[in-house]
Amino acid sequence: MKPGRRIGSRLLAAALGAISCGALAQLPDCRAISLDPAAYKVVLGEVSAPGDASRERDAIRDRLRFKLRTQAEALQLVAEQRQLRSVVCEGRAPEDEAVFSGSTLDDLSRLGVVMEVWGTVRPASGAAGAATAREAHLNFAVISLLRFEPTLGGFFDLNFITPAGTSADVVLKDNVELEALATLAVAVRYRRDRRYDTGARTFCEAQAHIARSARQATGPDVTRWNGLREYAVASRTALVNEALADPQYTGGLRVSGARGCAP
Amino acid sequence: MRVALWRPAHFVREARLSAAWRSVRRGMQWAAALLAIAAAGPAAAMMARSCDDARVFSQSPVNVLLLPYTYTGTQEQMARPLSEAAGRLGLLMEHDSLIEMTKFETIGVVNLVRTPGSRPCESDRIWDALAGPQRDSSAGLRRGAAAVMMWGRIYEEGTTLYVQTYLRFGRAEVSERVERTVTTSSGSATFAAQLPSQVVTLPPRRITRDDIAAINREFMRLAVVRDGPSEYARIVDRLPDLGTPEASMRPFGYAVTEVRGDWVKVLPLEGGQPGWIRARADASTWPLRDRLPELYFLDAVVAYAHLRVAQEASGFPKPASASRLINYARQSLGRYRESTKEASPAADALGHALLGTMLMLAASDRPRLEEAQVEFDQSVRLVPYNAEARNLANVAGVQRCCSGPARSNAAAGAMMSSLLDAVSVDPANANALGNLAAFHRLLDGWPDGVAAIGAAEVERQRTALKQLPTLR
Repeated sequence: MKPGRRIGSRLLAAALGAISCGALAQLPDCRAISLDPAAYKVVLGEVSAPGDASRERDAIRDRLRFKLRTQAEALQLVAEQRQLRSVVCEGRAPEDEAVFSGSTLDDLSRLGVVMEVWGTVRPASGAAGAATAREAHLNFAVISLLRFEPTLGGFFDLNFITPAGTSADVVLKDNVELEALATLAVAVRYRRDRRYDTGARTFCEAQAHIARSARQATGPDVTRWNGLREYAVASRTALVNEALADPQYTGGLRVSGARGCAP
Repeated sequence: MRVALWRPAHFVREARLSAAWRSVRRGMQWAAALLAIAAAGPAAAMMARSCDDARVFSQSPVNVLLLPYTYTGTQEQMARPLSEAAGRLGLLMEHDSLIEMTKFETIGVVNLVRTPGSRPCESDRIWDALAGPQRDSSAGLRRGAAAVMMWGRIYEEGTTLYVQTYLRFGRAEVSERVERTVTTSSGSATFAAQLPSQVVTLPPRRITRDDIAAINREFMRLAVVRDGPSEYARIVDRLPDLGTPEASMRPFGYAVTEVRGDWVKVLPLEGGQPGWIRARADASTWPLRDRLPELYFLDAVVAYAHLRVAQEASGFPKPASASRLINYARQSLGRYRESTKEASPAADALGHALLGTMLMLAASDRPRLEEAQVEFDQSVRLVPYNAEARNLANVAGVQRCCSGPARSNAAAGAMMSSLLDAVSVDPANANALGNLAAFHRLLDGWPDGVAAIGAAEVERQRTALKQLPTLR
């Protein structure tokens, strides 16, 4: 790399770092996000557990934290394949989804963040006996959907209700929802970048994970996952059409044409 | 045959020694291990090393690298020493490997430990140092040799441990590529594929301290050294008690010089009496693998790696026959699936792809190729988005459908569709594009095949393929 380019990169990184510390002030800072602005990233944050401390609450929080950390490692193992990194941000747990709006959303998007994940443990609400039960939540803010597809809704909440005295195993739950949302989130960015081949591949992967998430879901969540799947199918079709209409594109989609993701 | 498990000298005691003497002694220990192996000819060996001083058995075609399971979380949490139960779990896995890996006859198992003051045993760093393209030639794999690395994270809550395992494998400077050439009267074409992945996250497990204690008790019952391969033979020694907190720091090692049925003859490397121990325990009393079925998965990957090295590298001791390796892999994957209730499509798909590849590589007859096809199709069903899973299925498929005089015109259309599917799910995948181009070469001398697909469609694809920069 030429010295001038290196300085340019440093200036860019410094500028983006300043953005992360400034405009993202509503979110707990995490320098790791701005280290490589060109890379797409999933940010895995902290587990918050508001309210009175108790052994039970702390145990659920620690399990959820273990889950988040092992998920980060699992994502990072296939980072090269997907061209999507995972970044762990200690202490970063947004208090409110509303922080993911306006300039914060723009800045995160500019820094390559496609999704943020964090955990919350709180007393269960509503049901009888709620005082003795807790809910463990994995919260997802799909930055690329919030930024580029605002009508779709970019917040997802995976809820584990853990009645007191039982051993609800948040840890043993598989990672399919994270896989589904992470691949969809980055596929949206690839489409915007006109990275047709990578986008087509990643939308196919997203469709498979979303379909499995839908099979595991219950109640209204099933409809939401099915809606996401329809979106992923339609987006991939649009991406293929965009590729075929682009005179600069000479990749494999010209051979396979409008075939979808085969079952 | 000779298998050695070797844990170098006590780390605490080692700290009191001068650096020079430590260096000399490490050299002597290493030389002793090499001599022990050399004396037995084709051999296998096991040892423990510090992650900062990691090395493999370069004579071995396959090395299993067991990294310590560690806590995860904040820097402070990760720096905590493992509890007795968590530490014992790692040691029991090490012994389980010793017992189970004897069947491979030529194997190196390296148990890597984090010594006081050393850097964390990061999987990427260890892999790069031992198996990567920039590896240290004196410590790492020889070209073409394979490594299978397993590591993980532990979370403890009361009397329960949660264990998350990761596995990675590969060969030094050699990709896990499979090529098959299909020859017809009008020419030939080569089709290629790779495994769907070489790194996998296995489902998390829960294991209790009582489980670990029970497994340890069973280990201690088995860890009796006798003067003959029989329960009635005289007891001459005992293996160290893994239940003690200092077990992970104890000099520990032995070579296995002979195997008779369930019995192995051990030669201690750090003092003690040689003799026989019973290696195979009843699954009902040795439940470690029921609790951690990833050990079965590890077995299957090791069997696969042995077959690949045996077929493609020279200068290594010959392993068990291909049929035996396939049987090991099949049985191990079967047990893994039986013991795994949690869905893990990526791991399951890799398991099918490994077995299918072994069957295809060893296939000299059509039934085995058909068995391979069944495995590959299962893999595609689990990870339909993975072009390499589809490529493997296509490499088997094209051999079945489209070679020889009895090739089916009707099958040409289905094969073409399957090849296009692989391109569609990953339009930049070189193997998928190459396979489609190779199929077009077969069609050059197969007018009935072209007619079955449709001449216009074949021409459209040919034109598009010619414009691809990667295939020009």
